[in-house]
Amino acid sequence: MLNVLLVVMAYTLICLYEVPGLIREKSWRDFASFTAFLLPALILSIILAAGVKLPLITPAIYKAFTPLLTWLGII
Amino acid sequence: MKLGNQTISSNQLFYLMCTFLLGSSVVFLPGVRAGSNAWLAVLLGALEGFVFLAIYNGLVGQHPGKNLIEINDLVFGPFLGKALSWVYLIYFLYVSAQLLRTFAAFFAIIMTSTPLMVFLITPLFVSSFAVRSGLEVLAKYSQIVFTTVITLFCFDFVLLAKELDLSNLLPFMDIPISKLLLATQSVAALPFGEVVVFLVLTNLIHNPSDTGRFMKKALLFSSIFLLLYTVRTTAVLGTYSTISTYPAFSALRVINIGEVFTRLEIVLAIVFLALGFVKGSLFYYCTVLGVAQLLKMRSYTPLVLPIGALLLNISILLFDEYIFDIIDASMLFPFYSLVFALFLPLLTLIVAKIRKTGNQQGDSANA
Repeated sequence: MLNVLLVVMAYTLICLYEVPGLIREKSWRDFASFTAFLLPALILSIILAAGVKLPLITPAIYKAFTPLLTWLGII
Repeated sequence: MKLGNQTISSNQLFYLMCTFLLGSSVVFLPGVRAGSNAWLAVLLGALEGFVFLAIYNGLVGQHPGKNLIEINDLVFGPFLGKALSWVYLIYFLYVSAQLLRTFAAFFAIIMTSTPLMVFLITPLFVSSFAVRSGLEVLAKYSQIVFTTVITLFCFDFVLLAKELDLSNLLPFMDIPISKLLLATQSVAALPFGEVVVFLVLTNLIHNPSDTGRFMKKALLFSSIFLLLYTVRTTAVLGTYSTISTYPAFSALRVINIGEVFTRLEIVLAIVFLALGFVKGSLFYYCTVLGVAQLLKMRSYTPLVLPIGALLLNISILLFDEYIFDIIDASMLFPFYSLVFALFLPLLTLIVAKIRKTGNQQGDSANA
């Protein structure tokens, strides 16, 4: 639980650092883009900090490439 | 549209590209799977790298002063062009996450008691500052690093001179051709195929007509350097280089000059820290710049931290066992990176020639 709290604190700091300037300059497009990238990152970080096991990327690519690598005689 | 707040000179592009190409290759010996024929794999891989560069230069020459995103828009139209640009940017984000993880894994092996998270967050934090500061800062940093690294390597070469055993380079061509081709392809993909990321920066160079010439110079210099580096490491380690996780690191371990100059492998760790930083930051910078350009933002800086956070999450999700990093670098990356290093740029060049987009005369001067 402490991990999740730390993650939320880190993301709050990022928001405090970026958002006031964006609102002051009325850069709504920049603000929307900022939010669109920060939200998925926040959700992913919370899931990881909570200790949820997610599928890993490289083993999945390896599995997908196994037929090709076997056919080429590499593995 | 120019989003990057700074431009760089062709000379700075040369240093940036050299440090980029030496980046992670100084730790993972290029072509190591070919054993005593690693130097041949590097030579063939570099030739393949020149083919990639000819394609990139053809694109840049035909569209002077434009970057990958603008070229895609011009060649494939706004819808398909943007979709293709997104695919490239996802790939750049993935590669930067991979570099960050490789970087962290290397230092986690040296400093075993420190948590991996420290090695992930610290370089990312510094990198995000560099990215926010702009391309010129990275280019100037690479100028300093380049000089220092070359001096350190000359020093290493001299200290290792008495350990060199050129018979370790024999037997010649004793491996199956398929193994040599795989080693060649892995050298071509990592580092030479990664040069595709420079296409995002081509609108930030002072003199666009010089871009191709300086990129070729940088590729030639890095190829010669990597070739010498591979010959040296193989000559010192022999067949041990194929089983060592970090062959270049192991080679420096054997230096012992009068019990004074010993344990010099830490020099390589510092060099990797300095060079890997340029490579990782450049991928990170290009991802942020490309996304900001696609989303028509006023400035790219608000995206630096959110994309950095995403990058951190992806690097955690890459793998849990270090063996997968080695599998990826030696078996998987050489294949899937071909799509971005060769097929898509080649397709773009062919379509650009057919549709006659950009400047048809410019390519002969630049390519």
